[in-house]
Amino acid sequence: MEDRRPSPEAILAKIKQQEKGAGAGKLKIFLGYAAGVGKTYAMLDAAHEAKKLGVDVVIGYVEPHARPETTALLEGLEMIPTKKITYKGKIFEEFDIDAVLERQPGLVVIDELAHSNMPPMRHLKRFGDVEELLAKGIHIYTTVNIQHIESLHDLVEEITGVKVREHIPDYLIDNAAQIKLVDIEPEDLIQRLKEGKIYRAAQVEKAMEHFFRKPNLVALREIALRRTADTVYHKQSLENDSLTHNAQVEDHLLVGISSSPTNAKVIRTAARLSQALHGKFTALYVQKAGINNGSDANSERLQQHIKLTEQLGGNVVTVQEEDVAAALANYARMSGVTKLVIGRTATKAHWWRPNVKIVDRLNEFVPNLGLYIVPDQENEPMRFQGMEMQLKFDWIDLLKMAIIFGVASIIGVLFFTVGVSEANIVTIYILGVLVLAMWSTGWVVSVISSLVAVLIFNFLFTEPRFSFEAYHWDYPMTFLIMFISGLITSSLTRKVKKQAISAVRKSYRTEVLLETNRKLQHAKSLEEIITEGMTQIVKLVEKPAVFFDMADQLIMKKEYFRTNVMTDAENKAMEALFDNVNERGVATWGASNMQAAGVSTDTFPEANAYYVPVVSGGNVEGIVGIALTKEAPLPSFERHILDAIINEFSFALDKWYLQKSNEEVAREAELEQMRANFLRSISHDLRTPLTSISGNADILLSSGEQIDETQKVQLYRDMNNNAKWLVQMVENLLAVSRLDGGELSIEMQPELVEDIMQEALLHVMHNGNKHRIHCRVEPELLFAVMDARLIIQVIINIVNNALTYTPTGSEIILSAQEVGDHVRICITDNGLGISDTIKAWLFEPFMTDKIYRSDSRRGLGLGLSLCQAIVKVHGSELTVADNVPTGAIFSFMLEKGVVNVNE
Amino acid sequence: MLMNNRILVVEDDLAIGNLIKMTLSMQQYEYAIALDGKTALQKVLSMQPDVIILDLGLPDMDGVDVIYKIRSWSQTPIIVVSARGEERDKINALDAGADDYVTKPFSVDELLARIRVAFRRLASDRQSDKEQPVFVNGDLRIDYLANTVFVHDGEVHLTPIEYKLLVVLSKHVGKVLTHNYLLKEVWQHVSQSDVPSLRVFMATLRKKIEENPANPKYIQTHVRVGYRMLRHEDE
Repeated sequence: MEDRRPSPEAILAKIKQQEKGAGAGKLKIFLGYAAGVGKTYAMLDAAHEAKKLGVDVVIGYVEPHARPETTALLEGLEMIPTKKITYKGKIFEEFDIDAVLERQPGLVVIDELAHSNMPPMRHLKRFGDVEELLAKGIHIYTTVNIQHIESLHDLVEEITGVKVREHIPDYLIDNAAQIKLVDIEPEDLIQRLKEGKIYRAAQVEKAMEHFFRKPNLVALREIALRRTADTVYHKQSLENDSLTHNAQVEDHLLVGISSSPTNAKVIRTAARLSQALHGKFTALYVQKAGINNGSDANSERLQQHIKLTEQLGGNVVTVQEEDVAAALANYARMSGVTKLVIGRTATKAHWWRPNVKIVDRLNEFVPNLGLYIVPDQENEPMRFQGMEMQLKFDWIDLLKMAIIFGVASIIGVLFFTVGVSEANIVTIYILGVLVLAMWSTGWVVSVISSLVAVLIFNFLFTEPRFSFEAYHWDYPMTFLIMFISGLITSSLTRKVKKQAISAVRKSYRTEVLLETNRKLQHAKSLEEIITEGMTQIVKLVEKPAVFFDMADQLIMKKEYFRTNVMTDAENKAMEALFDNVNERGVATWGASNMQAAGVSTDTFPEANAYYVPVVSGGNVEGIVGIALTKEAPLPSFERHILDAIINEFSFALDKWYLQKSNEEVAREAELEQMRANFLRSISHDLRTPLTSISGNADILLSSGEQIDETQKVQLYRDMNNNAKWLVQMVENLLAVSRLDGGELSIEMQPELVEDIMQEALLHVMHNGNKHRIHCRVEPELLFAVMDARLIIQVIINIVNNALTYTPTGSEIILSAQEVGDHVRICITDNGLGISDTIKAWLFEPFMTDKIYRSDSRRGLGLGLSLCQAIVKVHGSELTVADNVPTGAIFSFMLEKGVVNVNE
Repeated sequence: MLMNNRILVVEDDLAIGNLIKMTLSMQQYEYAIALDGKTALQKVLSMQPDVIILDLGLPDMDGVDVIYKIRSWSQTPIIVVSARGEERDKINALDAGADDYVTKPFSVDELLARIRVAFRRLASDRQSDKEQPVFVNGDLRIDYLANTVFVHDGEVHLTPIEYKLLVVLSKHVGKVLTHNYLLKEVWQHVSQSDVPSLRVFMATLRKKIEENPANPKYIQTHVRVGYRMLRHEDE
């Protein structure tokens, strides 16, 4: 089981970042070297101090069977009730994280950091609760004993002989804001024990004999003091970068990672050593071609070792190499490794290679390197375990063997009667062994088949025939050679076969990844990205999956992706599963904490699916949930690809959001440009009529008497016309602002086209000229979907233009026709028409002064460009064509309105 | 026509107030000006105007509230002055009981036309104080008892809905009726999705009673607002 906790580097970065910003919780750890040193007492004491300083302190959890002095200290502190959990008939009290999150205190006191939670709790370990609270900005006081620290626990085991089951990762200690070592002389501790202050009398005796022996306590105290000192150094180096970057003083340790069960011990030793030397350590995993996909147990153990290394603050590097010693030596030389830590029996001797210890070979490769050899005798029995697994004999293989050797014997007998030499018959049997090696699994089959081949050959073809005896003196030689060559042939074949299988799986992995990459690259929309990504995941894991669309850490939408492996009913059941409140809770937790949760993690391991957040631009955009059970989690091989796919997913989302925001910016810029152009052309267009109105009014005021009646009428008329023109201008501006307001301010409704045309004609400026205007709507009662005011504005503008630019007496026809499920609106005149050069920029707003024509003082540009914008909002385009014989036709389309007459 | 021509103008803008004053005095109407809602309400009581011209944008209170207050005791025709584009305001004002509206900027002729319509309505209201069994408007004649409609003395056959519409319009001749009002009166329920149906019936009704539907004589369309039946002098 592996969790998806971020690497220590990431956490460091996170903590550093959080320390800068307000609101990040600080962790204070009260560290002791054994039970009874007074950690809880010291912690509660500190809690009282904090309360005096005005901090909002609550007790989250304190061991219920605490000593009386400690219990007395609980007085005056608010307690958050614990959660009672019944598990296997017993009642357990657990720290209630949700109650604390709801209470939102400044500081929580939580005893026993290394505690393992009971199943319904969301985190497997109490430190999971602590990390979540810290991330939410709540400070924490907690206690822990030295033997629970990951890198130290086997050392403690060695010293005390007591097995410690509960571990906490080292980074918790290293990154804690404060470490308070609660120290007491071992003599005093033993005294306390005798006084019954630590355990009840019945247990004292036993404790004195085992754990609480003085030499033990002294050793533990030393470890605790040293670990605390290392932490002090670690903190200092964090604050002062130059210390860590001084290559000369820094030691770099290298350790080999393998799936061997004793490897963990080697890794811990390396970690301790690097802590003591204030250096860094790297764990190298040498991946061999054939062994890539060994047994599940091995690969699981390998994953655990990688996780362990990361928890201990080491860096994991994977290289592909056949020879472990050469790989270690090469890496050491290239990466400035100063010390190499290896287990005593780190490599197994091959039967074709003399038994050379890896130590000796490393010595050969890098004589200058410091070598630390860690005893790991337990390696031997494990090797047998590995062999046992391969010793499994499948009865199907026996059947295969019978078939193959039956065929071989028939051919052999046939050859024999024809008179083919014995050497050729031997070859046929070896061929049989080879075929069998390809067809079956396990090397036992190879050995047996080689033996059986020799025996059959002996029985059938050597003199005396049909007996297992052989007369000729050189037959034993033949048998031996036959046996050996059978064995070698079959073992080589098996190896080739294994490599072929691993190559196929590897290429499958690459293929899935490449395909994902390609598909995500081609995805055009957000929906497509999600569908493609999820389809690939389902294809890979062969389990149904779900995508929760998240916004503000809430589930907005669920999208289920079925798998073809399951039946419809099973798929349905699985889909229902994701609607479960608990499952959604797990997913939401994953989103708000930006961590994987559910099956095969340390958080909500009891859930029915594995949930991974998809992060883009620092926000959780969605949660991918894969239906899994605790019994059948994802194999590690597939987990890696899944990680990679989810990474691709995030990248694709990032890219999409970036593109969208770029488009937004471009659109905004375009709109801004349009506004600027409008403003420029409007201020010009306003000035002309205003000059005319104010000028005319001026003349009439100052020298009205000198002007004769006809001249006066002309001035009044000009003023009137210009004012009317300004009114239209204001209408256009209002229309622009409505277009600017977006869809909200536009009201699309089916309108009677005739009404709209009549209304528009009420507002056109006749100015006393003698144009003839007609309306033609076919068929009657034609409805079109539009924003009535905007379309009226379009018609007014176009008709006004026609009135202005066609000679008096011209005819203007407004017509509407039904065209399929659309309505075409035309405004036709029989004036002089529009020249092609003008048509080219007719609908453009005034871009620059060079297009501005001094003769068009009525700003033709603004009106028509506005019309175009309005028509585009209606999903059409305003076009202009030549009328026959002369004149222009402006036309656009509107969607036909369907009206169900309701009587 | 010139029996009692008192007009109350409620307008806070001095320039527009001046314009209206000048227009009215040239037509020899008797008028008074109120600059805010409160004075307006007092003047309605003291002056007993025949027509009220009310600007919706007043400094002290909402123009629509002024209409509600006036309507609580008086049926004096109210012409609302509002800015174009604010159909919502117009509809609210009409639903509150206003009879008609003019849109700023309005021409003097337009305003005078509206005032004439209002007086005509007043006159016809006085005539038909007692429920008349027959409604006559120009060439249009509706016999409420026989449920028949005549144009130029020729009977016009209307569908039940068309007839109901015509009756509602004729009962409020001169007044702009909003879509909502008509829907409520004819269909007994209001749903915005029925407005297109209303337009269809209105169009077919016009085809039957108007001589030139493109230039209607009896039923006027107010786009996005409603319809009105115009009062014609007996010819």
